[in-house]
Parts: sequence; C-alpha cells; structure tokens
Amino acid sequence: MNKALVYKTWLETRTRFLTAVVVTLAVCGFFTLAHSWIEANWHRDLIEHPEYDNPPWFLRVMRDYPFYLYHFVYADFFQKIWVFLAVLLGVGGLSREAAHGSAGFTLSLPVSRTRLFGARALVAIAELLALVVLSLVSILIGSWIMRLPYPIDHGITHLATLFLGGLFFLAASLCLSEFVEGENNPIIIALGGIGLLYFVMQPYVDGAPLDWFAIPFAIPKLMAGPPDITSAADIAWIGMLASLAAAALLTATAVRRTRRGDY
Amino acid sequence: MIQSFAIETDALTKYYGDFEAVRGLTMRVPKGTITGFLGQNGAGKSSTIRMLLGMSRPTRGNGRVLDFDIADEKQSIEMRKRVAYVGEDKRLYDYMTVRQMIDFTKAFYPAWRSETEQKLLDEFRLPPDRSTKKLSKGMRTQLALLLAFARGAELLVLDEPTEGLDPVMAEKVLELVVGAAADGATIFFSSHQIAEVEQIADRILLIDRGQLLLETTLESISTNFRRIRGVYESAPKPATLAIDGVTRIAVDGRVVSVMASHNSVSIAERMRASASAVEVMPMTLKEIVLESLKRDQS
Amino acid sequence: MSPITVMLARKAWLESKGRFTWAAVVLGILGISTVFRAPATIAGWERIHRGEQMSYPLYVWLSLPHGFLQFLWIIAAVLLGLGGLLREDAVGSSGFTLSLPVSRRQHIVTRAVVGAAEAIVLGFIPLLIVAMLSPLIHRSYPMSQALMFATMFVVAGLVFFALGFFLSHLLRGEYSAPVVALAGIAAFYILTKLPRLGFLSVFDAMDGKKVLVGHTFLLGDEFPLTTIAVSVAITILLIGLSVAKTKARDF
Repeated sequence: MNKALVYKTWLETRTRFLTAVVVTLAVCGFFTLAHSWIEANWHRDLIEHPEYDNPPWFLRVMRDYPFYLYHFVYADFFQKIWVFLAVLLGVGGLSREAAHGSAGFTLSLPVSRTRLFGARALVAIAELLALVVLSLVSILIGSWIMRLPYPIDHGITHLATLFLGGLFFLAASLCLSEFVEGENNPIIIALGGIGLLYFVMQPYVDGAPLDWFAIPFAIPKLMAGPPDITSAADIAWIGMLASLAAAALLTATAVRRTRRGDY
Repeated sequence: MIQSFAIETDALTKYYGDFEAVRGLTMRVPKGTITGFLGQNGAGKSSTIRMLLGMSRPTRGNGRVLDFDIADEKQSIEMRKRVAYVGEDKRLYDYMTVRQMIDFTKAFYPAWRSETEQKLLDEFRLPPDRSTKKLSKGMRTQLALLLAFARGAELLVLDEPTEGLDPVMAEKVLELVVGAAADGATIFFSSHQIAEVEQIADRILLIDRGQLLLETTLESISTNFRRIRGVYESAPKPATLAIDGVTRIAVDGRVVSVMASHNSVSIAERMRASASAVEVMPMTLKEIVLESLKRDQS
Repeated sequence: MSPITVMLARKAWLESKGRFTWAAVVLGILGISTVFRAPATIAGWERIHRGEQMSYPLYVWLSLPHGFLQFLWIIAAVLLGLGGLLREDAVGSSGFTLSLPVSRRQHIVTRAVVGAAEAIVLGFIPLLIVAMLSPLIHRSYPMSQALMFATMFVVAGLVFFALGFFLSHLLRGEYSAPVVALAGIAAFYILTKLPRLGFLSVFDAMDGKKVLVGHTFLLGDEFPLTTIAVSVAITILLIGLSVAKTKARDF
C-alpha cells in the first residue's frame, strides 16, 4: 500500500523532478566547466576596467576554487534555484486533487490522510536528496574534468547544510498547498515570500553582521554556512535545529489541515 | 419539399494518430427535429460533435452545420452564434460565480432570452452568488443547461444533458428540450438513457466504431421494425432468409431470429414456408440498438 | 470595445486576479521594505566600502531594478502568462469556451493583453512606493525616475511574460510551463554572463545598466532602445506563435 502511494506521488511529480535534475546538472555543470572562461573574463575586466567597483569577495573568488563554488553554488545562485525547486516539488496534495476532481477517488482508498500526506512528503524529501547528491557528483566530476582540486568534504558539508536548511522551504510549500487554492497561487505566494526573505537577508549573506531582528530569518545564511566548513562539527547546529523545528511545525500544520479539511 | 438540414456530414473522418475515431460518417439531421445520437462509449460521438463545432479538424470529408462549413473558421464562428453546446464534462469556470457565468455568456448572444434565464434560475434554484466550483455535479449540469437554453439558439447540441440530475429535474430538462423544439430549434443530443431518447426524440442516429450503423425515425421503429422468430425442424441456411428488410439473422439451434427494419410481412411469409411456427413481435428502441451493435460486432 | 471583448477581458481578469493580487502584495512589501531597510543597508555597505558613500539612487537601483524586483517580477510575469485553452482542456471547460462564437485568436489576444497589463502594473508598484515613501526616512527619490525606470523595466521584461504565455499554449502539464519557462530564463541569465554574449542581456535593458548617467544611477535621455525593440518584437512573435499553435490544435 505504501509502495503504491509512493509510486502515485512519483508519477505526479516525475516531470517536475526530471526538469529539476536537468536544471541542477546544468547549473552545477556550468559553474565547474565554465570556471576557466569566467576567470579569464574577470582577469580581462581587471586589466581593461580598473574603474569597476568589485565586491569584497571578488578577489578571493578568483584565486580560491572552493570559495568560488561556495559563493556561486552554495550561497547564491544555485541556492536560490534549489529553493525554487524545493517549492516546486512540494506543491500538490489533496487541495489540488480536489480542484481536479480526483480527491474523491483518493479519499475513498483505505488509507489515512496522514499517510497520504506522508507519502507526498517522503517523495519530495527523497527527490531533494537526490538533487543534492546529483549536484555533488556533478561538481566533483566537473572539477575533475577541469583539473581543479576540490576537497570532497567541503562539498558534502555545504550540500548537507543546503539540504537540511532548505527543508524549511519544502515544508512551507507542502503547508501552503494545503491552505491555498488555485493551481499556481501556492507557487506565487511561496516564491514571493522566499524572494522577500532573500531580499531582507542579502546584506547579511554578503557579510554584514547579523542584526538581532534578522536572526529568525537567517535561513539562507544557514543554508550557505560559513565558507570554509568541511565537517559536521562546523555546522551551526543550534540554528539548523531551529530551522528543522520550524519545518516540523509547518509540516504538522499541513497534516492537521489535511486531516480536517473538507474536500 | 426540399428538406433543409441542421447538420450534414459527408464521409467525415477523424484520425488521432493511427486510431480512426470517426470513419467516413455520412449523416443528416433535418431542421426542427429532435435527434438522438446514440452509441457505446468510445463509438465516436464526442469526436463527431467536436468536429461539428470546430474544436477539432476533420482528417477527411466535410460537414455543414446550419449551412455553415465546419472547416472554415469564419463560418464556424457565425455558426456558433446560433448554436448552444452542453458538453459531457459540464465543467465551467471555477473562478466565476453563477451570476458571472450568466453575464459572461449573455454577452455573446444577442438573442439571449432573459425570461428563460430567470425562469430556469428559479426552477433550478441556482444560487447566483455561489462559485461554480462549489456547485454539486447536478447543479453544474443545471447551470450548463440554463446557459444553453437561454441563448435562443437554432441548434442545441447536448451531450448527456440529464447526467447527474435527479428524476424530477431530468424530466424538467426533457420538457425544456421539447419546448425548445416546439419553438423551432433543432435538438441534437446524445444520451445513454434510451428511455429518454424514446420519450422525446423524433429520429435516432446510431454510430459504432466511428461509422453510422442505423438512421431511422421513432415512428419507423414502432411501425416497421419487427423481430420475427421462427422454429424449424432443421435449421435453415441464413442466406435463404436474406431478403429486403432483414438487418440481422441469429440462429440458435432450430430457432431463427430475424430483425427486420421493414418488409416484415414478406419476411414472415418466407419463414412460414419452412418453419413450424413463426412469431412476429414489435421491438423497442433498446432492443434495436442492442441488436444492431451485436450485428456490428459479429 | 465590443461587449464580447469586454467579457473576454473580464474572464481573463477573473482567472488571473488571484495571482495578480498575491504578486501585488509581495511587490508592495518589497517596495516598503526597500524604503525602511535603506538606512541599515546603506550604513552596512559604507562600513564594508570604507571611505565611500552609497547614494540613495544607487541603493534603490541595486535593490529594485538591478536586484530583487527583477527576480520577483519575472516570476510573477511568467505566472501571469499561464492558463489558456490548453489548461482549460485539462480541467474540462474548453468545450464551453470553444463553443462560444469567438475566434481562438480573440480568446488568446484578449488574455495576452490583460496579462501584459497586469504585469506592467506590477512592475510599477515597488518603484512608485519608493518614490512616495522615501520622505518618511528623510530621503527623496524622484517620481519621474521611478516612472522612467518602471516603464523601461516592464517594456523590456514583457518578453518573459510572453515566454510563460507561449509555453502555456505548448505544454499541457500543470507545472510544465512555469518550470520550463523559469529554467529557461535561468539558463538565459547564465548565458548572458558569458564573455561576448552580454549584448543579449534583456536584464541589463530592464535595469538600464548601460544607460545610467555617470555614477548617479539615474536615467537621463538615453534608453536601451535596440534591446527594448527586440524584446517587444519577440513578445509579439511569441503571442503570434501562441495563436498559430492554438488555431492548429484539436481539442
């Protein structure tokens, strides 16, 4: 029965997941394979455009490959894409089935609503984990092709913080899908909220000291982690546990809504 | 008298990939009639209707609806000003209320009948401010029918119009259909409820596997269609009974059963020549449909 | 405007108003928070860039046209483009829509116009809020600049709306169109960062990067007209392709 539910959820999400795979491979592949192009372009800009106002991380990014990956993949570009993918893989659920007319069939199955929700959450988590593993593999392979030494524990640690911290966004998406009707409204609200979150947090991600009121919203910073961490001991576990607790709370809210909702 | 037709098709064919959904369909629906369009699930009814209304393009053949060419976009738009369609799905716009759906549809039909709109709104007890997504299946059907009948259309194309309705409402809808026909509209409706078709239709068209199997009037069914059963001492060759009017012959041991669309007297006489007993019985529409489909399957 | 066109426009509005409203709320919050986080952000920037001062127009430019407004507005524009006859077919109302005495072209063009209008309005919200609320933090941002930036931003960026719109006429799946559109835009963004491909950047046309007056980070008389013209042409082409694709389709 559980296998059947998981299979159903996989069929519902596989197109999104496969697109996410393509995007993940493309982004991680690009930042590794195009490193020499990008670096050459920067060097040219340094010589031809000394007037350009370069950000504080610029010089380090040029000479330190792990930091380059930290900045563009774990802390910035890929992180934002990964959060978008987490939202996308989390939408769906009984509200959506009700809109499409299949909720009656699903709810007539001899299975609890909690289990239905659990199957959906499980598949989404597994898909995100797969994306994270895929990104690590593509970074390692890309770095090896470009003969750029890259310590595997740096990648594992940062992708672990990306995954764990980002479960909050998956939970937000799962929860929103249970409350908000309409095909695309959950996505627009989730992405809008996340966009605003990044907007508020951007200065802190760029290095400004964290103001007290920004601490509860510091998930992007948590997902990035400090630049040079290479082991689990270096992870900010208090913040991470708080983020996981928030994710659990959102998930519990979603489950409650699923169990009590009229469809 | 030259009869004019609301719907005419000539060798209309539709392929979906390799699958031939409609095969050389040639049919006529005279204006002012109520025609039941019958067939099993997957027979090609919806595919035919979609072609007639311009939702899909015929692969081959042609068709005219109210003298407008179905394959010409401009003519199709003109045709749709005079046609009301209620699909099998009856899904409307989830983001509109009942009132908004009515106001929206009204804008497209200058001949809109506000008195029909109000009458049906009251009879069906549809709450004007309720969102269509919160309507039950039956109420959605009622709203879809209101939007169709209030248009003042010359042709109503109805796909399972009473599906989801309770018997009282279903009867009301059939009365509306008859009323619209009495006002001069042509009704072309498909239904699996053969009793309803018998109740209100003038004519029936039966299709199977995309082809026209039977085209007849209800009057002809009662006056001409007969089942003739003969008991023989030894079973005759079916070919000996294949005369004009015989549409199906079934042999079961010494009993031969013939479905006749006309000429039943001559057929019975032919059978009496060698049968020990011959019985002639009228046929219902249901029996004719089931027999015709069996014939096609054999 | 004929009553039929008005009704079609109303249908398109009712279909999309949920998305529009949420996007307007998000972008409104963006505008408001841009104003109120300005003092802290500018102070933080000046701490990092010792000896330099961050002008308010620079801060606004980095936060909005060159910053999160691009990110959020592009997502909103893509989502506003979704819907259409293919989605109606998936949910079962296309039969009703297609039986109306209106050409498929009119359905599509009306929806495109309404969606584009919504996207344009959204693009103005944060910048107008900044212009109106800046005095509250003892700063000023000229309304004329807000209007010029917003106009340039939305006209150049309409191509993203058109992309979402076109893909929704091509792809039947519920999430296929937004996923492919946003993935495509992300890929395009990366492409424009490659050497010698910067000229393709619609993003630079949206924020006016190449036409800002000196270090004022304000607009003058110059606009990236070529890129804007190409963007508009592609927008019209994509809408035209949507019409062509739908006219040829069987429902």
